[in-house]
Amino acid sequence: MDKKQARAFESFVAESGDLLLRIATLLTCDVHLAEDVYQETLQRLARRWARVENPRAFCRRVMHNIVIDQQRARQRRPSELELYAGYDSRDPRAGDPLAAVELRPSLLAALGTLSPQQRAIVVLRYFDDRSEGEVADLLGVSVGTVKSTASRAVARLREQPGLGALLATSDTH
Amino acid sequence: MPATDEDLLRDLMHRATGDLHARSEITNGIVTASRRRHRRTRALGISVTGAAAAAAVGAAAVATSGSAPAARPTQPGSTTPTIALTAAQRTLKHLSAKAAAASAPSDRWVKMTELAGSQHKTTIIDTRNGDVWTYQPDAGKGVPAELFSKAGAPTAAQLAADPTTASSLRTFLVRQGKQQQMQAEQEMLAQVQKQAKRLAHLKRIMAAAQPKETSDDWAFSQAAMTLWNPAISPALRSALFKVIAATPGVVVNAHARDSLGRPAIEISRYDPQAKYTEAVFEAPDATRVLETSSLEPATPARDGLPGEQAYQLNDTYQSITWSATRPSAR
Repeated sequence: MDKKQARAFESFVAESGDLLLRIATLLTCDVHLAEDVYQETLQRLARRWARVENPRAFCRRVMHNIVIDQQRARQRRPSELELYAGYDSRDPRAGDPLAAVELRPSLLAALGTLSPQQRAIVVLRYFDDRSEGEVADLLGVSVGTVKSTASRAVARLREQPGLGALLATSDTH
Repeated sequence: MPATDEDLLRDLMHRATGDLHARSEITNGIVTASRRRHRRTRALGISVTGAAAAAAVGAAAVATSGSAPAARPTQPGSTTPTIALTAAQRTLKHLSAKAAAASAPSDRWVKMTELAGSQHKTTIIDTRNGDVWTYQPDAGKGVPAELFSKAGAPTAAQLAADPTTASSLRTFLVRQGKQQQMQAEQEMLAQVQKQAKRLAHLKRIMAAAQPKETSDDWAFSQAAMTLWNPAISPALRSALFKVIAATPGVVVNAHARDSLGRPAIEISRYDPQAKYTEAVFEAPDATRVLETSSLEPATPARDGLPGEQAYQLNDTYQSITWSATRPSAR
């Protein structure tokens, strides 16, 4: 990376870093894991910076791949499947529903019940506001798959006790 | 109006992650590492062209000189340091002599095919100006087959200027390494300074953007904000009305009604900084606030930008009851 490329890279990260970290958090369901994924994604981006035409799309695709890889690694080591169990399952309505730290455990636990593909589609579609076509492109699936997976995933989230309560809280605002 | 599940989910995801911020140390670390790698690659360019010829000759030399095992730097505690070193030196001197006897490359272009990991790569160098092209024929979808880096390698003229006696070459290499290290440090320092400057700039912008509320503005808005709380004492309530009475710009309508039609005394004031009118509807017996309201007036269209509609937000207290035990939420 030469000096000019480094500057362009830095300004890309300054602009998109927070969003990327947040997407990573939703994809991994774990803030610490998310930071690792975020860092790994930026490292891969930095190595290919000169040749990547669309860094935004590149990062989203790479993040999804890393999460899938991690998921596979975890499946090979079932003892680590307990990762999501540590979440505080207090009734989210007890605290300030506006506080991110209060919401996060319940939301991430609920997202954690989805498959990585479902999660990626929900996050890219509704958090990152990508169109169905863009999501299909990024993940290499058909638009039909994006549609059906998204609606199944949302229905599944609705069934989660923790998230159901949060959605009910949001209804009153 | 009920929002869709998707809207609620979107809102939840944003709220649940809105406090997360990427650490700039991560970016700095990655950039520094990439810059270092870049410089190392450039420096390697020096040995690549020279060594390419030497390696071919050297390989032949080893093949003919029999089965001498390759000498490696020895571990501490190993028992054969001197002999191994001498053998290594002899091999290297041999290589040096062979390399010196090889003919110098005279063409302008170099092409190298490589296997980097499992990826095939072809690199072409224009030795006249240092331009480097890299091709990745079997790269994945979305990666262009041709990658181009301007002035990525030292030019033939620069390489020709490098010293060729061992002692001055050593001095040259050491100095080059130190300079590159220093340059990296200076760049990092400049980054830190730039960030400090950016921060100072941001501070100035924020200070300039802050509305300049006067003491009168603060007195009214704070008094109005304190009044709504049923827990305030009659003495405090009484004093708050005195404070409001002494604040310029307050408008009082003794025969107003709140949005539920209840008789009320409306106390309002326009805040010219915040650009909205804040109103408190106090019960006529001065025991409680019936409603608070803020009204942003409509703004006209200007400079080709659409205007904004008037916006009013009411908070109407329907009932206020006290109890000795904790009341239920319903």
